[in-house]
Amino acid sequence: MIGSLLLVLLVLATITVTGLLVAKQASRRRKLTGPVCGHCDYRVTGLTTLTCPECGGDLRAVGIVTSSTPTGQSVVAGVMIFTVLLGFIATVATSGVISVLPVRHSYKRQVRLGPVSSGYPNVLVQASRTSWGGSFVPAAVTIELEPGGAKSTASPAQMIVHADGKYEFTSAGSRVVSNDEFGESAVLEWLKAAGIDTTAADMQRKAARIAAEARIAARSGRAAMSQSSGSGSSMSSSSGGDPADVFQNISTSQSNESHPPVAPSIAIPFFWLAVWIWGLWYLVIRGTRRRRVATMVAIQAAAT
Amino acid sequence: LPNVEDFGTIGPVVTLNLTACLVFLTVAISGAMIVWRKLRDAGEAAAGELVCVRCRTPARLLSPDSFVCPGCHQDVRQLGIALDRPKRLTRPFWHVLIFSAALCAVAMVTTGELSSRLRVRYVSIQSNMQFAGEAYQNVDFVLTGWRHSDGPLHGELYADMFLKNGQAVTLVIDSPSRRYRLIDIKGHEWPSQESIGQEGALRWLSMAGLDTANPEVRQQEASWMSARIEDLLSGNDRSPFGPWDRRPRYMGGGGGSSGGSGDPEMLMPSLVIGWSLIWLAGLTLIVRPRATARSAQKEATA
Repeated sequence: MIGSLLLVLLVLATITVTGLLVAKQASRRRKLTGPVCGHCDYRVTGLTTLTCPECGGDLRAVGIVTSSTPTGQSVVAGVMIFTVLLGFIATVATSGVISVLPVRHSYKRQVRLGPVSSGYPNVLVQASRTSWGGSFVPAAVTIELEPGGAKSTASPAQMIVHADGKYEFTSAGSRVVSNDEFGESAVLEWLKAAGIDTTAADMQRKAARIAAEARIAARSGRAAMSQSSGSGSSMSSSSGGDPADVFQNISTSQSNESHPPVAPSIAIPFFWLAVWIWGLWYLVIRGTRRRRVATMVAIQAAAT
Repeated sequence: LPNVEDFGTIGPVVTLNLTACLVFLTVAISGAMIVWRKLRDAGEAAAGELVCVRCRTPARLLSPDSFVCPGCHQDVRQLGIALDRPKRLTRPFWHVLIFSAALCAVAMVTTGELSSRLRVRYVSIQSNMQFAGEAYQNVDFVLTGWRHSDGPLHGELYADMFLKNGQAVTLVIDSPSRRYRLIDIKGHEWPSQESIGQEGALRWLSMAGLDTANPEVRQQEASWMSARIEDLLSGNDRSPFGPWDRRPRYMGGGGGSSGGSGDPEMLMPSLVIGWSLIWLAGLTLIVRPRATARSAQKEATA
């Protein structure tokens, strides 16, 4: 968006500058009825010395412009050609740079399983990862028991499974950090701490399923983290369940977003704008001014 | 600003991309400095000074109180005093610009050609199959990778088999090597040096608790699973869920796929590095010899 705006500004500035140059040269041509000072356009006909009475410039250094003197029309053409060529170079070079800038990817996976118990209709297994396209490593997983029902007095319970396989959860106000490996028994321990009767016949099966979903979530999102996935966002979700399943309700949602870095997309147009302004300055102003100064120095040196 | 933790472990592709950015930036700055320094001196040295327009006698030779050119003895007020060969002043500037534009054109054409020849298709497929009357309830397949139009898949296939007791065993297959590893119900990995096939599928089913000595498991389930896996890995247009008539206990399933075509991940950073270095080398060659030779000649004449 900003890049497009700057491109439009560049085009408008080019048109304006070339238009002004053409208008200035045309105006000077129209006014030129005789030889004039190269600096201030003062008529030099009738002068007796090579010093301009208007600006005080030495005519040997600032020049004398006549109707046959080459004008700045070539400068106008030069500015236009320069702008076109620079625009082409900028387009090709910028597209090359943009294609190799690391892209920030974010990915989130949520699996909601239910029911868990009378106090907790759902358990939410979620993993999120953010990467600039680095190597794929397991993500931390959060498992939350969602209390539900109007009469429910159950409090939310959370378990965090770290990327290295260790886990922690809060039980009765105290934080439990375990160095054991995460698995089915860890989930059972956490469920028990949350006040759920884990002796129920199907609770072990549910704990096993939660543990399995957590392991899958930890390694999910490989495609979304790839540099080749480009920029944009996508989301997918599915839900279902089977009366014969461990959980009757299972819903899975995944979302991923990719954002190229913002700073280069702002800085690059400014860079090309600076190059363009420098080129204009070089073509239009710098050469002649410095040449006049050099001639003046040579004259003064010869005089002394 | 990016969070440092977000970078995670830097992989080869990101390393190459960052290197390409760094090379481009270094080359751009170096090139700008070379152009700046050389144009500052070379342009002026190449261009002439202010002269009589008719005979190109230097204006500095004119007497301060006379408009008569010492060369052609004409009145310079009628002829004019202007810069000698003004185009020489900007010649190095144009050389640099035209060289850069030409190189960009060549780079654009060759990159486009290479990109179209090496273009790959990125694949991401997810599918789910549910069963009844089996030791397992459902199997989830997740395939990610890329392939050339008719080449093998480069990526991984994860197949999670959910058992009736809630546990899951996972089969991970690397492509194109087809080597696989199994992840048991406790999350432990069991790598294998063999390629996946009916025997690999049998090992997977065995880990799920199926009796692999049973001819039905061996003949039907293992061969059916390995065929479905082969379909996914080979990019077979045939649906990964069929044929249903040979799989009576199949209850249904779903899935989706996404993907697109693009350049191989290593192509663009390699090209950016290559073209940047070529530009810098060409720039040095263009600016240096002519400018310095003429400059030296001018100085010697002066």
